[in-house]
Amino acid sequence: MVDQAYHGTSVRGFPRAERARPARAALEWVDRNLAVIFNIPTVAVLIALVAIPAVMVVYSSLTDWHLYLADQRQFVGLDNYVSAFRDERWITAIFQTIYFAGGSVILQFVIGFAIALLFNQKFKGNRFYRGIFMLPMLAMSTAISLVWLILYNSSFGPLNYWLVSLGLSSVEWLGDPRWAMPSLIVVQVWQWTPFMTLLLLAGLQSLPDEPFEAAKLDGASAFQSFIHVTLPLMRGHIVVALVLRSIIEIKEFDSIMTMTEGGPNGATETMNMNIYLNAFSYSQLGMAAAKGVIFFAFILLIQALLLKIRARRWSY
Amino acid sequence: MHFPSRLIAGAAVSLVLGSAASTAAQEFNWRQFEGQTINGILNEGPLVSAYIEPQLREFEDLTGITVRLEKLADSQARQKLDIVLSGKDPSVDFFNVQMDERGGAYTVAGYLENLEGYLANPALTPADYNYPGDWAKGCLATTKVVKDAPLNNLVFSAQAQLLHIREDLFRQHGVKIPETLDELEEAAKKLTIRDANGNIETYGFISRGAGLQATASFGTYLRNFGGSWFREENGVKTANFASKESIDAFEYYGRLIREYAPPAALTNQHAANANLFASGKVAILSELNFYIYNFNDPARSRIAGNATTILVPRGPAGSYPNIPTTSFAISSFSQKKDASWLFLAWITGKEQLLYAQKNGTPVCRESAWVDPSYQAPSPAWGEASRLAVQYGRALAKPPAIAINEVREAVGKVIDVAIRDGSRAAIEAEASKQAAIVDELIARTEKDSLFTGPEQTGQPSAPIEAQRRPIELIGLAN
Repeated sequence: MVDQAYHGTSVRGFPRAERARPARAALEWVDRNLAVIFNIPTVAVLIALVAIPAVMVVYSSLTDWHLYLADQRQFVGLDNYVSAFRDERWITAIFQTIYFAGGSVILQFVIGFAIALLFNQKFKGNRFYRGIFMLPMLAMSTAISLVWLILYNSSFGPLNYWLVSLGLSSVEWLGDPRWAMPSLIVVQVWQWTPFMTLLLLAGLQSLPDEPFEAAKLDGASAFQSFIHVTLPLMRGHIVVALVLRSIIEIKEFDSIMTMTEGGPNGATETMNMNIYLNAFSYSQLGMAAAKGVIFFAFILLIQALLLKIRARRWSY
Repeated sequence: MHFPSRLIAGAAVSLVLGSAASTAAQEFNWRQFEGQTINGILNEGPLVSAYIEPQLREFEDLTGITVRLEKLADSQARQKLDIVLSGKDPSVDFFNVQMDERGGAYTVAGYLENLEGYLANPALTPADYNYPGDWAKGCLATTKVVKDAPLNNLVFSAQAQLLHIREDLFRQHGVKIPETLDELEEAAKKLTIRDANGNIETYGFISRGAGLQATASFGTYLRNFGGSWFREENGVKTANFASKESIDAFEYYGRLIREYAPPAALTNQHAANANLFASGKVAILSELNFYIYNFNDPARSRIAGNATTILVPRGPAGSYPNIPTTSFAISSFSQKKDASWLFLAWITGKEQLLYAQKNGTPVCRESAWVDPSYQAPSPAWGEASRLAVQYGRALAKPPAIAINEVREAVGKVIDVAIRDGSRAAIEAEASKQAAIVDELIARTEKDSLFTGPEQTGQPSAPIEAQRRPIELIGLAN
């Protein structure tokens, strides 16, 4: 009986091992596939919210789909893509996106790095000033844009008031096609330089002390130390900051929509604005989807370029 | 024969009760859809806050229907409706729509419920509703935008593009209140006032100058010069804004803004222009008439009591007021159409629109304008606004299915007219944009029955009508 019990026979005569086997097998299967099972909810959500919409966008981009004539949607192959690249306005929008994002990110990087170097020094009140400096990026982009709209008002805004007080002529900040884009870039730089500073400051504070001490012993000046030690060591952080900010600036929408709606005369119409107008102002969803796919590829391209720079082997 | 008094009394009571019951049976049944909930999307603003919301409780108490409103800014409301309607979503029952804006596309797409059956049904429409009898002709002319389409909207708001003027400045500087466009330019010139240092203290004129929105103000000037958005030749719709008369209008409008308006006119939205006028920086504002309520409110204006309103002065071709009306419509995909209709019939009833009229929404019911309890914000405003409702047409937007692209095209010509102003540059831009629009129309309106709201063929407002608001101001002209 002891042996029987040991081998798992119950009092009712059913073999315990046999009864427990399916449950154990299931547990073992779960154990073996734990990684897959734990990922199912995430994958399901991603499929529902990313993969399916993405496939739908790609399919829509191959159709002639006007919002009001949804019933007459037709498959047109790559026609929308061909039309997009024949659309002068879209081509202009691509260059304007590069102008807007490039201008914003370069200025944010230069100013942000300088300020990060400053905050990396030890001085009284450093934390307080750092806190104050970070405030703009905490504010809502639309609210910031509305404030800048007042500052930029060409007739009664303070900027022109000061210019005129200095004996200079007033400027149509948002009304002149030559000034509108630089004016938008200034707003981006004002709001997002703190974020660039934050990323770079985190990098600076993680650098080891030894290379700097060695450079000092070798008699390197502060500038030489910056060029030959700080910059190379910061390469990874710089590329991450540039990738992040570039992607966000290329996608920027709120401030452009609030301040110029892509005007005057399309002077601030970026790819994002052009897609928005196609979809919601002109109701051409097929074309908007095609441009959306091109836009996605454009962001991937920029990201790949920057990451390639990061991956490059540097010699110092 | 002697009847017992009890019997007589009983018979009398039965008679009274019987007749009361019979009257009740004939009365309109407001509670026929009790318990239902209907959902609407409306543009946020005075339409909701000063007209619909204050009266909503009364409707809900009367009918037992619950009304849920989603209030959105203009562009968001349009975008949401585009998506909801194209997705045939039954969750939205009613909404407001400008027939000269999205109305054509929605009609062609079949999104708007045919309302003729509801109007003709005495069980759904109160006997005293009086449509179209009580509706101004100008308003009614804006309701049909697709050939042979049934009535699919209830027009209620008759806001008009008029000329707001600073009565005190005209008086102080002895300037004639303009009856013609030439006189308007003269007044704008005289009222562009500089301080001792030569800086402009008050600008003479302001109107919309930015992008596609500018077409809304420019429409009247275009018609008054004899131009038009489109013409029809051999059954083909062709852009007409490059015609000689249209170019005259662009040239005039551009010059007025370039020479007499603050530079911000190039980028301002209409509310910002109205704020400049309310702050006392501008003498003449060409804009929607409902803004008078802001101008006369001392909490929001520095010119309270000094602003009044006249028609945009007549041009070589006459005087054509511009009324970009707003309508209510029921979604074709709604599952509560009857209850929605009941709400729309009630909220556009005589008393309810009189309430709106008294609270800042100029309405399409004639009775509201002549009701003894209604007092216009100024006599001239009342007269000019009423004339606009009578003689006006929806001129604010070029009638096209691809309306925003066409408005942008015209906006570019207006931009050149303001910035450059030379006739050659305006002609070149107008011809370029007209060619783009012709191609667009050929592509988007092929085989379409879209006509847009009636814009041409209507008579000009007579000269004496043009003068009436000016006479009410009482300035020696």
